[in-house]
Amino acid sequence: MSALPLPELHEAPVREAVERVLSDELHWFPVRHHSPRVARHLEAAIRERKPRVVFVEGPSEATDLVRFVVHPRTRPPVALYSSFRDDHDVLGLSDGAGPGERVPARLAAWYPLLAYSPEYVAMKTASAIGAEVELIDLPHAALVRRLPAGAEDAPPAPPPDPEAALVESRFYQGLAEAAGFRSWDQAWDSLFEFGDAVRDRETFRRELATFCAAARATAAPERLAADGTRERERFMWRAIRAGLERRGLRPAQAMVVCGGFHLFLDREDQTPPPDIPAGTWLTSVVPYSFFRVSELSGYGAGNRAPQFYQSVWELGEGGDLDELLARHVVATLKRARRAGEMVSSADAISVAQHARMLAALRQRGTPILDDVHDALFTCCCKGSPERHGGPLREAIDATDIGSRIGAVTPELGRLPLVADFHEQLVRLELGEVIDQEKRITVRIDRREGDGRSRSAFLHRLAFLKVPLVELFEAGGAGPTGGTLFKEVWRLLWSPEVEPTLVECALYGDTIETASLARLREQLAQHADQAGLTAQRLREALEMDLPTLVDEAERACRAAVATDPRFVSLATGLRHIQVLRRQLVYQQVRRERFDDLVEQCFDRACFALGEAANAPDAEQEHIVEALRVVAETLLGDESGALDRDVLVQHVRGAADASQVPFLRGAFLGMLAELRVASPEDTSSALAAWAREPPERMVAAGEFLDGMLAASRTSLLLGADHLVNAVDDLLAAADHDAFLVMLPRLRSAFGRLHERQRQTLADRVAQRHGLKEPEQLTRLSTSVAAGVLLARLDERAGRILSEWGF
Amino acid sequence: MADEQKSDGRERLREPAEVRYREELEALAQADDQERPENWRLSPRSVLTYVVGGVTVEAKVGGRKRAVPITTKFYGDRSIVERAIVTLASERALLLLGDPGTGKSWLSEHLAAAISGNSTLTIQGTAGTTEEQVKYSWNIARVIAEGPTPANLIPAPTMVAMRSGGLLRFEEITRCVPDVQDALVSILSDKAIAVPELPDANMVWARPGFNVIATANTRDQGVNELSAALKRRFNYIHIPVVDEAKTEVQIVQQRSAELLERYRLPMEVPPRIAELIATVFREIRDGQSAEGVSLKQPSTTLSTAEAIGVAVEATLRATFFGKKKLGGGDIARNIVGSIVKEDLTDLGALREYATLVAKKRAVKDPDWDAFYRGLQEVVPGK
Repeated sequence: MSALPLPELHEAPVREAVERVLSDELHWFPVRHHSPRVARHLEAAIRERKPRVVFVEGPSEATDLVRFVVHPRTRPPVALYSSFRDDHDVLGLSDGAGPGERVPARLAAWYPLLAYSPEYVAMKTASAIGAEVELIDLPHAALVRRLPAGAEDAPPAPPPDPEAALVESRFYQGLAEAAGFRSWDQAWDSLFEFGDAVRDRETFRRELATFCAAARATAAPERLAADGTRERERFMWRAIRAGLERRGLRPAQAMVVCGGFHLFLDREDQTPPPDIPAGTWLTSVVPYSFFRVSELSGYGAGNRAPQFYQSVWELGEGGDLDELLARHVVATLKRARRAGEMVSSADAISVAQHARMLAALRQRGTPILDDVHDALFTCCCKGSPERHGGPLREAIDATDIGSRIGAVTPELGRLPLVADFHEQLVRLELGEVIDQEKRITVRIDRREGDGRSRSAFLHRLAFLKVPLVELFEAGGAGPTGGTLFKEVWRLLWSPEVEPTLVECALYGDTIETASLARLREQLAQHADQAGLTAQRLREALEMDLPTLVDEAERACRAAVATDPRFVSLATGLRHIQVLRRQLVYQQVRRERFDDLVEQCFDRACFALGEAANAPDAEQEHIVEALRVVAETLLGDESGALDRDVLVQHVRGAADASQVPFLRGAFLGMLAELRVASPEDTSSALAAWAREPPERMVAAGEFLDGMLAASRTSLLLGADHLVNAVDDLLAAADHDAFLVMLPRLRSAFGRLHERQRQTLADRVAQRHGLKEPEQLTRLSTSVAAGVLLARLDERAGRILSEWGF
Repeated sequence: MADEQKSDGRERLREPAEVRYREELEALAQADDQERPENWRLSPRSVLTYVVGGVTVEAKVGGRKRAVPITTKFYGDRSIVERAIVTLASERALLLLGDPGTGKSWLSEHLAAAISGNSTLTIQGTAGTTEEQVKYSWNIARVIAEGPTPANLIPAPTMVAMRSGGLLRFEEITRCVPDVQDALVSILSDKAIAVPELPDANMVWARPGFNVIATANTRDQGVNELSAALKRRFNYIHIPVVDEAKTEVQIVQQRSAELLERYRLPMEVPPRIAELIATVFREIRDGQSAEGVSLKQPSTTLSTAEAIGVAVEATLRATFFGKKKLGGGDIARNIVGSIVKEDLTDLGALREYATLVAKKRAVKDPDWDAFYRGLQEVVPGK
């Protein structure tokens, strides 16, 4: 096999660089996040070297929290959480929504720690031997590039992937191609996590350092400049030197635990690190979960199989990895069986054997996760993995990832907002949800006792997206109706609650102030959208934030006056209608919004013309919006809404529409408004039967639109409708019918069972059924039934000719 | 055996893989120092090298030592080949599953050639395949004269493979009726065929190395789906349509060059034309052009094999009836048959592609211009 085509990679300088770092008095230990083997070697190294201080690559602003991380009552997975609010807009990222509406930029970062994360093990071990720990990484907000004036619209760069530079290096790419590695995880596991050649600690340290040196020598310089590597390293190196000096220690009395790439930072670089921006910084330790740390939840520095590597960690050096893999396979297949897959113990044996043989073919001493996954799909998926492998894939993911949730020692004080949350829960007698991991149902009547306070609190949590509450039945507008004053909430604790609250702390110190700030931010962001500002207005009332109601009302009035979009205006109308009903107990005059409803109604009618030829993706929304506008009119008791305006614009839209579905909907709406008779509307449907075949096939869409907008009125003239559909089907040949069929199904699917039954009776009567009792259930296919009926008819005719 | 077939001295239109790639197999066998499963010609790692290629092996071929380049036979995901090889070395049989033209039979042939040196022990599954064609039949005239004896038994390829410890290739297994498929259950679990007509020698046992590579077309799934018992005895490996544009161009170029060599045509498919063909197939298959235009998708499977077919046919046409230089117009004139097969409405897809995609590119690129004008001739707009 030819050598890697890397002319720029010279062995001597790489070896020299490695030698220089490894022989340094200061002991550098290269790590990879969430690696059991690194963690094991590192633990042994710290215990053996007994340093006085350990510098760990982690957020320097959170060094004070290390004592809570290593506390005996803290149980990983946990995360160091760091957030920054740019109060003075030093980064130039604030939302430029308008004068006086500046929303400060908020940035947050998470540093997950698992039981086998080398950083966590370094903290624990240092604590066990009485060494200090100092986190040395640059605070994350300092990496955000300051935007030049006039560039407000440029989004901030996404957080850097800590391993991207290494993976993109020409050394790694060449190695992966030559060795057939399909991913960096696979390469890591093959070379370092399970590689037999690196069982010895010093060999491991040297091999990993050499690997990283070669990757760094062939990494694109612009990548290192762009992802903040150099800025971070300047900061880290200064932090290490300052840390030693402050403590009066020699380098030999310290250790550095950092990514292998940073071993080769430029110690001569005189450029100062970036300034840490002034603003509000919050740090905390929060419970974390295996799911969040897995790649599936989308966080950087993830781990593809937290539970699997947890098992590897618990197994210890020298444990029987073969047996662990066998147990992992059995657990995966057990899950797959529960999901309905037909897999047996024989399959488990085949998978284990296949994984071992694959590992041997791929020149690995022991199977790794990739071999096991390949073996599982080869032996257990009887078809295409994309089409038939879903349940198996889910079982693999669930077993690999696990469901472990961490806990943080209660000795860690709470942020004011988190404390407020807990206080309110107790005050409103909702505290039981915290103590148990089961769903509780809370029924609230907003007229009684503290019902209003409880409702407002829960609405605020829902608005802040705290994953604790779910509104099951809302007062007068919920998914299942409910009454005006009563609400049903479902509460379930999850590990996501605390981190979400910590994120909310950037908006304020209490749930109320955070809700206010976020609502104000959203008002500024959606100032031109009638639907969304009306929703905010409604939320301000539901969350009992009277100080914001006036502000939201002004924003809503402005948006209604300018928003040209029909769907948005109709959505606004719906929200305003709901909030008018709720005003009864909100001590706000109901009449206050009458003119807003009228204005919104009129504007929606005038906007209808623009919607007449909307693209496919918007059509359902338009019909739904049309129904909202019509229902508002039909429910108007004051007589202030002008029926003629709506009729005129619906008629205009029907004439202008070239889209069969929408045209059907507009004509259906005219029937619903009683300005067109069901007979007229059905005639428009029947007219499609006279169209050439290529146009006739659109009749299904037309009918779909009709029934989407009007059901009751059209069914009043069910006979006309049945006749029109019958004419249409008689005119259509088989192919045209097949094309129409999906939309015909969709159209009739919109009707209630009883309405369908009524139509079916009319069809049967039109085709000769005299009494409904004559109906019998078909035990054959429809085609066979039709054939039998024809034969029966012919037999009857022959018999009658014979005089029977 | 394939080697014997070659020795009759007559020229063949197509040689089996073990003959065509004899040098490569020989070189790999010489250089192979890895452990081999019993009756395998090469170790699993060398089989992998033979299929994925891309290396050069030093070996003594024809009495002199030289470097033999190992060509790439399979361009898709390497792990597919690894999993297939491991399966064949295990207790289970292998079922290669995929859309038509994804290279199932091609891979099966090369695996058989590399592992057992014989890719010709093949059963082609059809609705008319019988159990006798899977197991064995009799020389009726001799049975009438002598009664059933081992000498009068005509072994099917399965039995030959079992006796030699070789690989049986069962093509399109799901075309066979369930009764015939189920004949494989006992063969795969007991590794034996019972011959009740021979009381003294009523079992034929498989030698180590025996296994089965079956292929099945995903379009036939549900026609005669394998029974649960048979499914258990197979590892399924799905071969997807090539999803990387660059790889598809490479395949079209290499395979059409091989086929043209077989026809002894002095022409080649120029890289830019191979790229044009692969692009057209990919975009129509995916229902989207590189510019993001949504396209109608025809009912046919637009496999890479179809693309190769178009390239070769277009070259033949250009050679015998054209300007002896392959251009975009030749491709257009030959592509219709690949895209429009059973359903005439698929013409619409091609017509749409011509208008929405090819016409735009024709302005800047002469090959696309020729292609567009060719399409206008064969699929004129309404």
